[in-house]
Amino acid sequence: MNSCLAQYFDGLVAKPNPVTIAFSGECWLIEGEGVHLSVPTSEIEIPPRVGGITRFLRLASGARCEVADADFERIASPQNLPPPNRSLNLITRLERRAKTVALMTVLIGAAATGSFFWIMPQLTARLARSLPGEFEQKISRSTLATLDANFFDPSGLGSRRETAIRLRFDTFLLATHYHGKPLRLVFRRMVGDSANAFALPNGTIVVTDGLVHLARNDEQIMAVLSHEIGHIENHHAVRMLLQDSATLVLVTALTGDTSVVGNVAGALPLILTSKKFSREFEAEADRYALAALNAAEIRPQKFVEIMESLENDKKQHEADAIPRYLSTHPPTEERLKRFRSASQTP
Amino acid sequence: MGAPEDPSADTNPTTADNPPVEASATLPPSGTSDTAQLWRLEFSGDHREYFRIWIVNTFLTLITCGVFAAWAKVRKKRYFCGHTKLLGFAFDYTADPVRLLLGNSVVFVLFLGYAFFGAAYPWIKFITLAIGAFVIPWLIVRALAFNARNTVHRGLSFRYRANYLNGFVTYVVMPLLCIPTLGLLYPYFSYMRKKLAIEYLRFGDNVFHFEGKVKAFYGFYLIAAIPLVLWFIGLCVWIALSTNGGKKWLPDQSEILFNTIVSFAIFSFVKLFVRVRKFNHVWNHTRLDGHQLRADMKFSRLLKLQLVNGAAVIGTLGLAFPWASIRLARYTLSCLSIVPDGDLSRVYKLGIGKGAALGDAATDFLGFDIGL
Repeated sequence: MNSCLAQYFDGLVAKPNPVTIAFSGECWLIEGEGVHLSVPTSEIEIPPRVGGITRFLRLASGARCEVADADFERIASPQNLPPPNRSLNLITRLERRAKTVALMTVLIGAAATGSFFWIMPQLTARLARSLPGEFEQKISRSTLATLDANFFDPSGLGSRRETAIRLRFDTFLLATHYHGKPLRLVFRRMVGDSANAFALPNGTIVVTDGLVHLARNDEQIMAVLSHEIGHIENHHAVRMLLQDSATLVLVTALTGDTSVVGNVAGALPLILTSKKFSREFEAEADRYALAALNAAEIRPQKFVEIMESLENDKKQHEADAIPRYLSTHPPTEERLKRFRSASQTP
Repeated sequence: MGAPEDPSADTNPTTADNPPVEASATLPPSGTSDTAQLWRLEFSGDHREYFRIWIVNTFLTLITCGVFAAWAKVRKKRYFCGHTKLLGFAFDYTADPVRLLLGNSVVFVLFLGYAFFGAAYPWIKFITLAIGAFVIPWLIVRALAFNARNTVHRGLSFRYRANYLNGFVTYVVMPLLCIPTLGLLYPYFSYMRKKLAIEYLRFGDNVFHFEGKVKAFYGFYLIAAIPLVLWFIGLCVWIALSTNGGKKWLPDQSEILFNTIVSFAIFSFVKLFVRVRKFNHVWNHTRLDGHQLRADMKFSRLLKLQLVNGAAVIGTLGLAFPWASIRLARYTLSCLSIVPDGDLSRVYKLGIGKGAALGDAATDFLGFDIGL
């Protein structure tokens, strides 16, 4: 019969005893100097293989045998291995097959990628849509206050110019059949007279004197505003806010309690002034802007024109670290192409 | 660094506590090699072998939504313990996964209460913290006992004599005292954690003794504090310069990113330094009856190892994690040795009851470091 060398420990003292172990009939036979045992399989526990570690045969008496894995596998068979181990032995067999391992790696990677790129964005979008109005008001007001304290001085445009732009904006909204939340234009002078525009979640759009001065006509201002309305309608600012806090999103989605979003709302001023919107968000806002400009019969080329003006302006003021429109809305060729080609179609 | 904690040395305080010996492929006859001058631990783990175990563990844990985690943990510990040998004899991890699962479930519920409902209802957070103040030291002590009791070498298990009062003082009183003293007691807290883990540990009827010095802990923590203080001063200067002249200033994204990376790098560097010094001091001042433990870990070597580990894990999006674990375990165990005082075969059994699984699960779930 098959047998192999092992070391026997009686569990009472740390002294090793070299023995020979073998399986015969219903028992494990352990033979060595001073050791003559016949142990039925019911009194012995043999944990399943894990890699190539030393195998242990744990006796009910507290004693044990220690065997090298390779040696033990020579004499191991389904008969002498205790039943509960068979499912765990299955796992060991799975591990040995390279194909199974490769498959599992791929599946894990797919699951991780899927949840990151699809599930989380879906959840944040749903959540952003379901935020109550008072809540949006609150975070927008506090954001404007922070921006006022850090970046803005009162506008120097004068009430006539402001009224004129607001009227033009109302006409624009009528022409585009706008039915979203009420929009409100506010004017500010930004540090360094920087040209910029910010869309707050509650429908407030901040326009800086710099942007008004840079624009050659009101249509160019409308072009920028239409893009900003696109951000508001699609809740981009709030979605950006939530993206970095997966826990918060899960908590809110599952408990339905949206007030906890207030915990991260303080980051909104920072997001608006320095974070770029993702390509998808920009594309979404661009699509909205294009449709709105077409409905208002303003040529999409106006958008390209104002972008180019902003680009020149940025080049002139490269040195200062003041946030400007282009830092958050980089005019990639891809984006401008959309507007250019739309202008060319009659 | 983004590298894994050493699985055997950090979560199982017992694997490294044994006299190391020269490697031998076959089990040596008893008695002859026990009396060598210096014993070293041998680690035979292989990263190719472990990758398979790790990937199957991860996969099954994911598809069972965490239920398999208990079995995964036992398999991992059995792997690392089983490949660690002293004088040719390996270590056996005997924990029952079902008990770990039970512990995991209870801890999960507690954690759910704190993180999940606590985010929505702050009063739940306070209640859970208050309960935690009494439950956590109990869990840690139970975990120490559970891990000790379930580690077997040469037929004898390790034992940990639970002392709940000491656990409470170490893990509740000390951290609380760190607050009014502005962290000056932190090295002492660190010292007490190690003492708690080692002082009550036994192998059979042999007892572990921790003879570490508080002074030494203050020594390496103060050295570690220097780069942190310099960084903090630099940060204040940078902020002061940026807001100079009343110019309106909010940091932009690239500045925040730079700051985050630099602080992460400095913290990791400092943490690694403390880890090496602590490891060496603790082991050099621990003995098992007459057997004196020794450690000779090198900071430069560990730094290089962890940098490579971190880069590999990030570069492979986590797939190099098992490889990194094996490398770390191999190096850590190679730094340990024992100056023996006679034969290890004369250790006798000591009898105490089995530790509850609850403790072990809690420390894993909450990421407590009870290792050495």
